[in-house]
This record gives sequence, structure tokens and C-alpha cells, in this order.
Amino acid sequence: MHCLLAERFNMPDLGNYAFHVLSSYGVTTLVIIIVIIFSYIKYTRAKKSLEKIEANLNGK
Amino acid sequence: MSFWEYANPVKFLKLSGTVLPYFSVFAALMIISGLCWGFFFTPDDYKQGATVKILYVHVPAAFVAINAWFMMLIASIIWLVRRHHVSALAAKAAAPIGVAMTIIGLVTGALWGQPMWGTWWEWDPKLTSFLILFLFYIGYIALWSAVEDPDSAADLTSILCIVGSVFAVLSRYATVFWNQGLHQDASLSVDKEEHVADVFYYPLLVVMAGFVLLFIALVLLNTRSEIMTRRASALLARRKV
Amino acid sequence: MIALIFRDLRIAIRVGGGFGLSLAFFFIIVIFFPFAIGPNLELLSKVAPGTLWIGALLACLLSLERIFALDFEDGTLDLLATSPLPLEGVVMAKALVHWLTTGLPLVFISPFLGILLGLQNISVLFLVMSLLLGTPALSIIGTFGAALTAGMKRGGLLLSLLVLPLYIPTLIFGAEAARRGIEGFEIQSSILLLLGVTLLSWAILPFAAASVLRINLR
Repeated sequence: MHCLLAERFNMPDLGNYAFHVLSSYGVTTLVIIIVIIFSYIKYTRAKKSLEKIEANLNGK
Repeated sequence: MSFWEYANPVKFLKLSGTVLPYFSVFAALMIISGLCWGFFFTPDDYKQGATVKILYVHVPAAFVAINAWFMMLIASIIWLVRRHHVSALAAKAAAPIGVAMTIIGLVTGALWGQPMWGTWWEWDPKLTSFLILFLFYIGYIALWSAVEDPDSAADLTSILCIVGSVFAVLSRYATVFWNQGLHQDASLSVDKEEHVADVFYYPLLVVMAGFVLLFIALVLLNTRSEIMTRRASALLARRKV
Repeated sequence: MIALIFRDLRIAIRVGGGFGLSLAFFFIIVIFFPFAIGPNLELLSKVAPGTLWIGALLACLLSLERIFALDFEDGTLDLLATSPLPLEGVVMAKALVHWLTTGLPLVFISPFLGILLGLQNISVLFLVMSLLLGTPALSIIGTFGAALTAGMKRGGLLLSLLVLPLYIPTLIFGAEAARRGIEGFEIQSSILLLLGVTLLSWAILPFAAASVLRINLR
């Protein structure tokens, strides 16, 4: 089973274009990850500040 | 029970909170499986060689980049007509993602163009109009961040989005006209979508669906944080009074 | 509306600065191009239409902020908004004055600058025609941008960021018309498209600019 999987995911021969193909995949992954992290940080920040304010209001 | 009920921020927060995990998981699954399918299990194109694999990231990103603007346009019109705050915030939330997708489209396009056309950049109508779309996104985001009053900002950016759409379409046709005028070299503008064989087409569809789901998930997430920020500032303002 | 046009025209000429400044700017921009590119007349005549169009665009941009800023500050705009004249009419009057004080003078001095850049007699004519048909679009689009940023303190940079992408169709068709004319191709289609952009802008943008102004005056 293990051998079969490894065989199936053999690195395809990209020839002269390895740099172009791999770097375009890399750029895509990088940009998407940056956007996700950025959005997520923004979200947790917004949530935290909202909860803080709500707790303050309820406390008073 | 109608669609418009979700224009209520509280209901929107509840619903988006429940569906968001599903969207994110499905987006990740589809993108990863589609990309693996495309990368490992499809043959090379007889003409383009291995570079055809760039298709699987280039086309979905470009597709989302253009349709993100359409989504912003629709959301802006809904805001202007029905004054639902969620709509305006969703338009604001989509813009940065549109920018990211435009960047991916431009960079992967350049990486594809270099081996195929022998140049990183060609002033081809498609590429040029993408660059222009990028400019429009930047202007839109800049206007959002420049206006302090949130309602005015939403109004102004909505109108900018509508006017911008008209001019973006005009620019699209202008670039076609402009490039034709200089050299009738049609061989450069390889039509990427029409001549795709089925082998490449199915994985492409999977990745595309994955990108769309990713876009939806990110817009939901960003809209949620916008709503929360807005609510926090509203509460602060109320306490001051 | 006519009274408003004459009032604004009088102000523009009396203050002086606004009127001559963008013209001088246009002049300098165009003259600087040979310094950057080199004194090769053949090359210069090739880039001349583009140079003059970019110069016109920048000169236009420079004077946009002034369209609404003064009237917004001293409250004239509030008065105009409540006057019987619809705000769309005010916008059109403002745009027209802007064109008369920057676009039209620009068109008049463009032949001389064209000659400086090595254009021949008939070529200059095409250039003037494209500028004459295209600059009204620059004015009305700019007025829309000025209306968007009317309330802001530091709107200048933002204004150019917003307006420049909207200028793309005009620039492409205008410069294309001039270039085709100079190189001896048929120019009818590009001239008609340029005219189409101008008329379309004048048809839709007054409404957009007026609604934006209402938001900013709120």
C-alpha cells in the first residue's frame, strides 16, 4: 500500500519548465496563506476587542 | 423567511459562524485534491509542455479576481437600494481578496508567459486589463480607508464601484482595440480557456470550485470581523454618550 | 446655470493662479520629455502624441482639487445644493468651467508643443483634434473624482489614485487616434470611440457626481 502511494505521487518530469511551474504554485500558495493569516488575525482581534467591550459594559 | 433576513447582522453572524467551517474545509479539500490531480496525474500538453500545469492556479485565480469585482458591484447596488449594512461590509471584505487573486493571476501569468512567449510581460489585452483591474481595486480600497464616517464611506465606495465597473468594461474593450491597432499578431493571445482538452478540464473545474469556496469563506470571515469591529465602535460611542 | 458658469469663470480668471498654472505645468511636462529621452527628433515625433496626452492628463489632474474645495469650505456648495438648480446642473457647470479654463487652453497650445516635438503640419492637426474631443471627458471624470473627495482634508493623492484608472479609456482612444492619424492609418473608428467615451461620461457622470456630492454634504 505504502509503496503504491509513493509510486503514484512520483514527481512528474517538468523538463526545462520546473522553475516556472513550481514557482507559480509556490507564489499561489504563499499569497493565499498570507491572505488567510491576515484575515484570521483581523478576525481574532475584532472578536477580542468586541468581547472586551461587551464585558466592560456588562460589568458596569 | 426570506433571504433578506440574513441582512440582520446578528442573524448573519450566527449563520456565517455555522457554515464557515464547512466552506473552509471543502475549499481546502477541493483545492488540494484538484491541484494534486492536475499536478501529478495529467499529461503534459503537446505544445506547451509542463507549463500547462500553471493553468490550474492561473485560471481559477483570474476567475475569482474578476468575479470578486462583480460580487462587490452587486453588494454595492444592494446597499444603495436596500441599505443593508452587511451588504456594504461584504463588498468591503471582498476587495482585499480580489487584490490577492489579481496578484496571483498576474504573477502566474508572467511565469507562464516567459517560456511560452519568450517574455515575462506582453502588452496583451488580457494582461493589460488585469493590470487595470488591479488599479481599480487599489482605488476602491484607498477610498474605503480614507472616509471616516462608515455610512458615507459605504455610499461613496458603492458609487465608485458602479462607475468603476462601467469604466473597467470600457477599458477592457479599449485594450483590445489598442493592441489590435499596432500589430495583428493574434498568435500571442493564446486563448487559454477554449482549447483546453478534457484531461485538463476536470481537475481545473475542481480547483476552480475550490477557489470559489475559498473566496466565499474568506469573504464571510472578513465580513464577520467587519461587523464585529463596527459593533465594538458603536458600543464605545454609546458609552461615551 | 449660465450665471454659475460665468461666476466660476470670473473667479478662475481673476484669481489667476488656477488658470495659468496648469497650462504652465503642461508646457513644462512636455518640454521635459526631450530632456529625458534625448534630442532625437525622429524618436520624439514618435512619442509626441503620447507625451502630449500624458501632459494633458497630468495638467488636468493638478487642477481638479480646486473644482469643489473652495466652494465646499465657504459653504457656497450648500447654498447651491439647496438652490432650484439641480445638483447635476451644478456639476455640469463646474465641469464645463474646468474644461474651458484648462482643457481648451491646453488644446490651443498643443500644436506649438507638437512642433517642438518634431511633428509635421498635418500630424499636428490630428493631435489637436484628438485632444479637443478627449479633454471634455477628462474634465467630467475629474469632476466626479473631485466630488468623491470633496470633504476630505488630504484628498489630493487619493484623488489621483481614484481618477487615473477612470482616465484609461480616454487616454487609450485619444492617443490612439492621434497616433493613427500621424502614421497615416484610418482614424475614423478611434475618433468615434473617443467621442463615444466623452459623450458617455457626460451622460452618466453628472448623476454619479451629484449623488456623491449629496453624500459628502450630509
